[in-house]
Amino acid sequence: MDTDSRFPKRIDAFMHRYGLWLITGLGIILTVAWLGLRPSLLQYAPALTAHVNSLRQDLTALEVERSRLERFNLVRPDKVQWLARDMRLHIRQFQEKTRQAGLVDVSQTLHALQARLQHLLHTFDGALREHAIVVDSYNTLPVLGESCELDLRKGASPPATLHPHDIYTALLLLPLRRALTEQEIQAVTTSVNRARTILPSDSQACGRFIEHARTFIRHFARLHQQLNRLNLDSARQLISRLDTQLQHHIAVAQQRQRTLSVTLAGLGGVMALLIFIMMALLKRTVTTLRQQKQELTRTSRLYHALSDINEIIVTEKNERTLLQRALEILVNDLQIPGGVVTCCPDANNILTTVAVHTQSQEARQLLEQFKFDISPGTGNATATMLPAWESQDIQIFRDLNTHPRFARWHSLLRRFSIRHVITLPLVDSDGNSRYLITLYMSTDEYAGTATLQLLREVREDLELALHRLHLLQKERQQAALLRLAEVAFNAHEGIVIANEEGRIERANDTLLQWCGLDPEHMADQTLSALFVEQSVIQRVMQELPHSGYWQGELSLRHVDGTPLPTLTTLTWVPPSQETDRTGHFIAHCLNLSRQRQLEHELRSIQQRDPVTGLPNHKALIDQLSTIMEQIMPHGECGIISIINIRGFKSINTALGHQGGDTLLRQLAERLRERPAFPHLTARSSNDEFLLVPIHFFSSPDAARQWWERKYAELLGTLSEPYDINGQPVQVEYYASAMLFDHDLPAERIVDEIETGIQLARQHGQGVTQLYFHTPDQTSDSRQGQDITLRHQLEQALERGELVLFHQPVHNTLERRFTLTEALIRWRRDGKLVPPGAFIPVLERYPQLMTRVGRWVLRQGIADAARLNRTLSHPVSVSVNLSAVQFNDTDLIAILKETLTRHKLPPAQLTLEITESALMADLGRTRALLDALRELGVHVAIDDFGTGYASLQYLQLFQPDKLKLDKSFIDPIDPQDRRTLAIPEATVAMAHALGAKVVAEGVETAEQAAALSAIGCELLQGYHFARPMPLDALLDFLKQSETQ
Amino acid sequence: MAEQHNRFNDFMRGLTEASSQPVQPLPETVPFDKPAAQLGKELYFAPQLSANGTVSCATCHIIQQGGDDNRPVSIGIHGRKGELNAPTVLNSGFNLAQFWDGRAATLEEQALHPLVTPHEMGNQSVQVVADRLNADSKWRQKFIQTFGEPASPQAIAYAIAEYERTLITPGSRFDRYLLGDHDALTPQERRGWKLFQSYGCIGCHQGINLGGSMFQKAGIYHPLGVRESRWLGRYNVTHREEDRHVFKVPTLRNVAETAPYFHDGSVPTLEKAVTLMIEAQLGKQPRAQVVADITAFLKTLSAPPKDLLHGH
Repeated sequence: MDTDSRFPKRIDAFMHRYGLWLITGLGIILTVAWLGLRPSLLQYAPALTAHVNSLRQDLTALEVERSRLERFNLVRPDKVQWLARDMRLHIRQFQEKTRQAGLVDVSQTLHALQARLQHLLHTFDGALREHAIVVDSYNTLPVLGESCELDLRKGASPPATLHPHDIYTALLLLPLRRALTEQEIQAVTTSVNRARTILPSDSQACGRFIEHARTFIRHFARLHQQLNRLNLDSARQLISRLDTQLQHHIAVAQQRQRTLSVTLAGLGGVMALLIFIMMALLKRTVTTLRQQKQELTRTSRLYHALSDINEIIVTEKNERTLLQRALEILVNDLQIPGGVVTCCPDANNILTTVAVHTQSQEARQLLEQFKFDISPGTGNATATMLPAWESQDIQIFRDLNTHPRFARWHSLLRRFSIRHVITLPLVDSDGNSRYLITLYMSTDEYAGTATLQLLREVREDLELALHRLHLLQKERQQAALLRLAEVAFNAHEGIVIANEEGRIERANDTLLQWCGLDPEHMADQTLSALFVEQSVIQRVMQELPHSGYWQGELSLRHVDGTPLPTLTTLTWVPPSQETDRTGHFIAHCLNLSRQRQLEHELRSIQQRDPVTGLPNHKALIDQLSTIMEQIMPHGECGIISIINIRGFKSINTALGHQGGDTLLRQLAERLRERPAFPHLTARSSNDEFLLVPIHFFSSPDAARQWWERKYAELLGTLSEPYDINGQPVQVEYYASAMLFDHDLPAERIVDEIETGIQLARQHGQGVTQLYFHTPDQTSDSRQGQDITLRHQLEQALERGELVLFHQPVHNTLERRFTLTEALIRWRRDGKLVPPGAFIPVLERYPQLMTRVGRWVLRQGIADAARLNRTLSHPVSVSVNLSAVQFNDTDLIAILKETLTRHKLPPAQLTLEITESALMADLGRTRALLDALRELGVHVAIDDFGTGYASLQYLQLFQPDKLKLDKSFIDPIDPQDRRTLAIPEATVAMAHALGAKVVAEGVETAEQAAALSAIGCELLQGYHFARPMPLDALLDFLKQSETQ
Repeated sequence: MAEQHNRFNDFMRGLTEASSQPVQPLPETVPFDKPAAQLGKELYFAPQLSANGTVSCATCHIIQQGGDDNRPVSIGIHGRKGELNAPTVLNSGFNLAQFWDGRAATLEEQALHPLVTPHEMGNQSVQVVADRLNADSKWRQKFIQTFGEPASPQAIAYAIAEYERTLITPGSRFDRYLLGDHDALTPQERRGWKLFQSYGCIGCHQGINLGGSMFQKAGIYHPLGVRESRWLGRYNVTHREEDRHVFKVPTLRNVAETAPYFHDGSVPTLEKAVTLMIEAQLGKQPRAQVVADITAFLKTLSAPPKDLLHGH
């Protein structure tokens, strides 16, 4: 057995169970690990903090720039740009680093910061722009103011209230004032605007001063606004918020990482534990599987051995060979170093070695020469052989190679690596130890109980086999007895035995006599040469080794060439290895010459019309049917014609019987000779002749036309005058013709045409012209008769007109009647109908026959039960079983049911089966007989010796009784021993088969005495009693008992 | 690529932070990605970048002529004229933003604009340019060698920007003066530098590039140049009322080489430009001497571009 394939299957099942969990677990771990190993916020934490710090620093730098703007210091716009750029860069990098972490609040803050920064930069941009202008004007104002002042002084008197000096002083002081308000700037603007109206417009210097002053104040206001808007606090707050958020997230991330680490460690631990457990389980499974595999291999080898041994047990016919082969099987299948079979200890307690088989040649030689001594105490085979021989039980001796008792053998045992030894004793049916099978083992593998179990089985099987062989030998002796009987039986049979090549080895005297041969000449003869039909027998002999049996009619050839018809049975005896015998042909020849002669004569008488020598009515039917079968093509039709001599009665009266016969003879001759076409002619009855042309037509019309023409010619011929004793006589005819085809059997055709001529005559037709008769399909006299009879039988069965008669059978040993044969009778209208008048009809209607047969069985069993109830000693009843009943599938069931119902022991019932019925269908017969035997019902072969039953089949069927046919009893003459040869041989043979013989038709006391003398135990016949109704039988038996 | 950009920014920041002065000299070198710059240089001169293969970056930004084309407005593809005066490409890496209106924050951004502007290079999209370059096995091979991948808009922009960042003009006489060589400037030029500071020009034209670091209104006291709706400057970007006519303060480096002047290229000479600037932006009537001095100073800001790609 392939145990390897089991292994992955187990793993498969295991993975099926736990694999999903394992994969899920791994998946969880991988997911968690991936989450954990993702670019973490923590990884960037220092960089992010650095970004925040940089942002703070940049913001502080921006603050510085802002204060420079406020103080009108020289500012570096590019520096602001760089700072802004730097901040943007930090923000962007911050964003990039935190994007994966998905921190919503941080990104919101960053966006806010970005927007804020954008705004700041824009404001800075504006402020710088204003600042550049303001600073520029600021520097110019004092110069331009002084110039205006000068112009005013040069020109008309200036308004006392306003001096450019005051204006530019106010303007120049503006940037120096702290906490400057819009109103104050507005006030200065108003004063500048007022100065523009007051100051003289003709002064170019004043114009430019005012223009610059206005530009200054306008841009200063804007700058002031921008600076106010330039609130860096919100940006700082945003950065602080960012910092707080960042720190918070870092803290959260750290916390999460810690949790994660713990979880991962936990999960990992659990998984590791799971995997460890799984591996442990797997390992355990693997180990178990491996053990199971080993166990399986071992068991498989054991059973292989057992099966092999059983195989040879069936085929082996020789004890020694059987043991040798069994040993070989054990050694080879179990793969052990070797074994030995021993038996029969002699006077010195030395065992005889029967068989040896070893793996190595050296061990074999050693074992073959080894003397196994089972002397108690001193013997070298006392480990297992002695106890096995004595206890008759399997003995095991373990670790032989280390046991101190066998120290002197240790080196030898080690050499062949033998450790254990097992001995199986084989005990015969009488309870004596016969053989010892000793097996040497090198491993522990087969030293266990399983092996012992197997060896016990082996032992039982071998013992059974030995027992069987013993029985077989007995059987063979029985067969020899049978053969003896055969010789006697063959008194009227020719027997030839030929070898495989067909060369004759032996022949009995009868055959030699038939063939006119001397025993010396036999040696050169072949079997086929004995027969006329050489090709047939050669062909049969070729096929015989396959079929085993052939029967047919063949003619033996006498040396003078005369053929002798025989019924020849050829039997093939296959070669036997056991006895070194080659195959043989056995031919049994039954002389049929007398039978043939009688048949021929009978046929002649039956078929020829003695007056005309023409075939008669019956012969014509035979001929016609042959022609229809063999010549007439299917689908074509033929013509049958009948010719009737008109007024033959008066002719006969006129010419006398002699003259009438002469006329008939001449007419017959003309009918036979004249027609120029092949035909059959017959005399059907006194004045009627039949004529069938052997000419067939594809259409009825063609047939009619043809026959009308031929008939005219024929009529011409027949109308010519006949010469009756020198007196010319002319005759007239009626004639009728009919077309026929294969639809009607020949018998019916002839019947029909005969009916046809009657009709023709009655109607006065066919006087000169041809009358074609049309057959009436329904009329068939014989069938009609049968049908009527069948109906009557049917009614008889229903009305209980059928009865059973019993003929008692005398038992010569017990000297009383122990058996009766039940015979069916028909009591019709109070009169008994002879069996021959209705049984053949029954045989033709299988359904009716089956029903009648069932009735007979039931009635027979009922009668038997009644007999056994009434009588003091058991009486069996024999019932005839028709061949038709073999097909009755309910037969066995009916038997069982009826036997049970009447509480009749099955052995009290015997079923008689005729030889011919037995031979009709061997397979079915065999099955039926087996079923009957199983039921316990006895079987008798009826009419034994009349059929062709071969001895081989008798052996096969094993009947309980043989009924020797009356034809063998009739000739018995106590004075002539030869007349008893067949009964005697039959009895011997029956006894050899374990059967009893019933002699039928014993009519005289001499016959009875002679049969009794040869050991025939059952006698039946008129000498003892005729068949009688049951009540009469009861009286008869009671009466005979009292005698 | 972004890393490289950061590196350049950090480098610039380092230059300005360390100085307390409002102006700084140009560095002798800048950090750059040489393979990318090399490819960028080839792209800069490649007419394949334009839709019909006739216009390259160098067509309008001629490096040896002060980094622009000396036309009032550039002539792009199919002879179409631009709207504004082409700013110089030299030292443009030090600008806070690109274009007159500062609509491009970086050189990378700037580099792609002309590719798809109908009157400049006229491409449908930058991807079309990339596909065109990839179709040429030579270009494709160059990109793969440089970036390990075929041309893409990002790669093109980065390469060109990287090259443009190398276009610096260190070693001008003014820079030498700033670095301590007092005699690098003539007395008149030194006077001009003083006037430049005291007049308040330096309020806006400051930093490494003497400009390019802030946006300022063009014409505070008087309108400056042609005021047309299409020349609204930064307003076009921010759409704030206050940004009307606000432009990026242009760099004054190599100003003597980049005539004509102003966003509309309406002023042909430097003297005139200085005079107009003082009148419009400072509300002063400069004397001829002042203009001459300042102009003399401005001319000391010129230096030839340094070939960093080969000098390394």
